[in-house]
This record gives sequence, structure tokens and C-alpha cells, in this order.
Amino acid sequence: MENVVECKNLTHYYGKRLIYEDMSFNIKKGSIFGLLGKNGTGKTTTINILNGYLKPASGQCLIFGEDSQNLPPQTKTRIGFLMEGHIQYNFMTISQIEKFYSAFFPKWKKEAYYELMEKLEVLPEQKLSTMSCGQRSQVALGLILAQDPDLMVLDDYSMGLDAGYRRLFLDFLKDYASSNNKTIFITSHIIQDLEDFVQDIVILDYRSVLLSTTVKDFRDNFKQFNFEFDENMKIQLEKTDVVNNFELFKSHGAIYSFKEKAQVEKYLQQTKIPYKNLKQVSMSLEDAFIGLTGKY
Amino acid sequence: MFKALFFKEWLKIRWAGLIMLGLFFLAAAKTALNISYGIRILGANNFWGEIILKNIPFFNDYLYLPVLTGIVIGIAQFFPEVTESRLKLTLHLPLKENNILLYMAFIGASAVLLISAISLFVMGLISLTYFPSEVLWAMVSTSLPWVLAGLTGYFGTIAVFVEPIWFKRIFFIVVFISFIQALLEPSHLNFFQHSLPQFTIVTLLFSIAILFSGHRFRKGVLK
Repeated sequence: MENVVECKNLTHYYGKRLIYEDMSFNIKKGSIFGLLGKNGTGKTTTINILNGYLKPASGQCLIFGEDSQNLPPQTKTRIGFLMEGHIQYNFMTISQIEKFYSAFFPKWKKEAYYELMEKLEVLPEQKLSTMSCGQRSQVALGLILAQDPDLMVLDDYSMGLDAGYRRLFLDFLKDYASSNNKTIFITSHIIQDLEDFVQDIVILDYRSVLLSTTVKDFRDNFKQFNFEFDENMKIQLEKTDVVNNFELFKSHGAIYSFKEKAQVEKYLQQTKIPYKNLKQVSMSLEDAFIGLTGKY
Repeated sequence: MFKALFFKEWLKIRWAGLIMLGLFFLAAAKTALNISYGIRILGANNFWGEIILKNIPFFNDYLYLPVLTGIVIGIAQFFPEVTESRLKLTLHLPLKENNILLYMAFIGASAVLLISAISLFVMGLISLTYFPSEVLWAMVSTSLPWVLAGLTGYFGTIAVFVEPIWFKRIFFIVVFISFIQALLEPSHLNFFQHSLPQFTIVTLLFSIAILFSGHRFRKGVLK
């Protein structure tokens, strides 16, 4: 399948601080791709590189086959960009901003924008600066939907939004994604919202990529095993090829692993950990994300 | 597309432009009152002597207004762009990035020139009311460097706003202030009679400073 985005061997530093090294990923045409990671792992850095606002220390991103550092205007018309915090021209009114953007995009769909605006209790002559964060997010979304891009790049769409606005946002995105061959690249710190939305994911950790997979594979193969132990015993676990991550709290423990229960049990026995009641528990995508990346 | 870009820039600078135009009119009114007062107090001959023989411009209130206009228009135009990195939205528009920046600079510089031209016209009318036409031309050639200082103030302000590196911001500030001082310091009539073309060329060259700052902004150069 054709790739809309191809990022190869991206490495970036801020000063001497390594953000990540040799990160590569592709985004297939028509797919919904999520870049997940805790704060400071490089999600916005990746989006900035992808949009040509940041030159990586090494590596390259291609969008529609063009180098992201020098995107020609024709390619830019095919990319919808939502900035973190739903930043837009706050000095414009609802109608002014629609009029402004419509001049730049040949496939502009005015009705898509005003359909969304009708749901907000705002007037066409209301300035964006007087609107709530949730309302501004809908304006930003409406503008991208009206642009009708082939690729949508959304940097933390959920920032500052309550549950209702987040759901409204995703409802419109789902509708957009279901139309022909539209591709979405999304980052968010609210993983649970993306559970039934994204298909492919890359999970970033500090300085590296932890995992690149599909949500389905991640949920099918990544498991949580809870166990109990005597609170007075001193338990020492470490990360291995069996234990991707673990948590210990008082007399309870949890092991996160891509292995089967039998292998985890064998590992615990080999390392002479006095466990009781080892059992696999189900996880949401957010549980799995935290299980893999840790709480800190 | 450029019409839409003009619309956006107009929304940002219109109030700043009107306020500066208002200040120019106030300065013009003050100049007119000063001339009228000077003629009544000193008598026409003595006042004429002060202006012509001692080479003291009668429109000194106008001196810093073009620079102030340049800075105010620059701030009004680029402060909203650099806050929250909104310039990224502008540079994401389907036009060549350098063309966008140059066009924005062209619109701002045109606003500075237009406001300066209107105020010069008003000053010219005041001059013709009291003095012979030779004084008008002396006034125009004396105040043209001030207009250049206004353009330099504008180009300097926008380059400093877009520039991501503090060291280079300070460098820009030093260079632009020095050049503006050179344009404003001579206080007698016709000082720049022979060097104005050279100063004009340098001023126009300052307009491309924003391209270098804009390039560093786009490449995410460390602050």
C-alpha cells in the first residue's frame, strides 16, 4: 500500500539533550496513525519536523514523496495542520477566518465549516479571542475539515478539551476518515480516546521508540499479569525480554509482558520470586500504554 | 491568495495605523500653532531668520514619528504571529515561505510609507500656508531621512520579532538603532541632500533581514 508519510532514521537533539535516535515509521494512505508518548518524548518535535518547522539532526521525512523540509505549495494544500492548543488567528472573527482560508485551498468546503459552527453558540462576527478553548478547537477543526486535505496532522487535539468536546472532535474526525483514502496522523496524551480510533501506533519513550505496531496487535499481544506476595518479603524485579515493565505496591505486583502466562510463570520461578495467584487481567489501550511506558 | 494575505495583515495593523495617523495630525496641528505663535511673538522677519538663517527645522515634532510608526506597525503585525508560534500557520499556507514573509513586509512597509506620506502632505500644506515653496522642498528633503528611519524601524522590528536567536536579535537591535540614529541626528535642513540615495538603498536592503530570521524560525534553530 502507498505510504503518505515516510520518516527515515530521524535523530534529534535540543542542545546536547537527545530526543530520539534513528526513529523510522511510515503512514499508509487511508490509515489513522497515532504517535503516543509521555510529555517530553518528542511528539511535537516529530510534528514540527514533519511540517518543515524543525530540521532534524539527521534523517528525513517525506510527505507525498516530497522532502518535508521543502514542501511545495501544491503539496501543502493537501495537508491539514492542527497546532497544539488549537492555535488560530485569534484576531479574526468566525466569518473572517473562513473567508481568509477559503482563498488558499481549491477544494474548500464552506458548508463543512459552518455545519460545525452551527453547533456552537457563536455569532459569525464573534472574534476567536472571545471564545472558550473548546469553541476555538471546533473552529480549528472546522477549518481543516473545510480544507478537505488528503492528510491531516493533528498535534494533541485533546489539549484543554473537556470530554464532550473531545468526543465531538473525534466524531467529526471519524466521519472525515471514513471518506475516500483520507489519512490522519494524530498525537494525544489522552490515550483512552484513541482506543477505537487509531489503527497504527508508534509509542515513544525518552530517547527512543518503544514500539511500532497496530493497536490490534498491541492489545492482543501485550498482557498484564497481576500477582500477590508477602508484604514483608523484599521483591526485586528487573526488565528482561520476558518482563517489559513491572509495578510493585505493598503486597501486589504487576508484570507487563508480550510473553504468555507460562513463560512469565517460569521466569518468576527461575528468579525465585515468591508469588501467589498469578493471573492475566484485561487492559484498555491506556492501561497497556502505561504498562509499557510506566507511570513516571 | 495575496489578496487574502493582505486582508489578514490589514486586520492586524488597521488600528495601529489609525492611531499613528492621529498622532501625525496632532503633531501637524502643534506645528501650525507653533508657527502662528512664533510669527505673532517674534514677528515674521525674526521668525524667518530663526528658520532659514539658523537652519532650525520648524517641523521637529515630526522627527521621531515615522520611527515610532514603523515600530508600532511592526509590533501590531508580528506580535500576533510570534505569540504561540502562530507564524507556523502562516508559513503553512500554500505559498512559498519567502514570498509570504516578503509580502507581509511589503504590506507593513507600505503602511508606514502611506502614513508618512499623508502626514508629509499635511505638513506641506502647513508649510505652503506660511512659507514660500522653496521651504516646502527643503522640508520634504529634510524629512525624507526620517521616513527612511521609519522604514528601518519597521524592518528592524519585524526581523527582531521573527528571529529565534537572542544573540542575533541583539545584533539586529544594535545595527538598526545605529542606522536610525545616523538618519535622525542631523538637525539642519537638507543635510542628506547628496547621500539620500545611498541611505535609501541600505534601508531597502534591510527588508530582506526577515528572510534570514524567517529561515532560522522555520528550521527551529535553538534560542
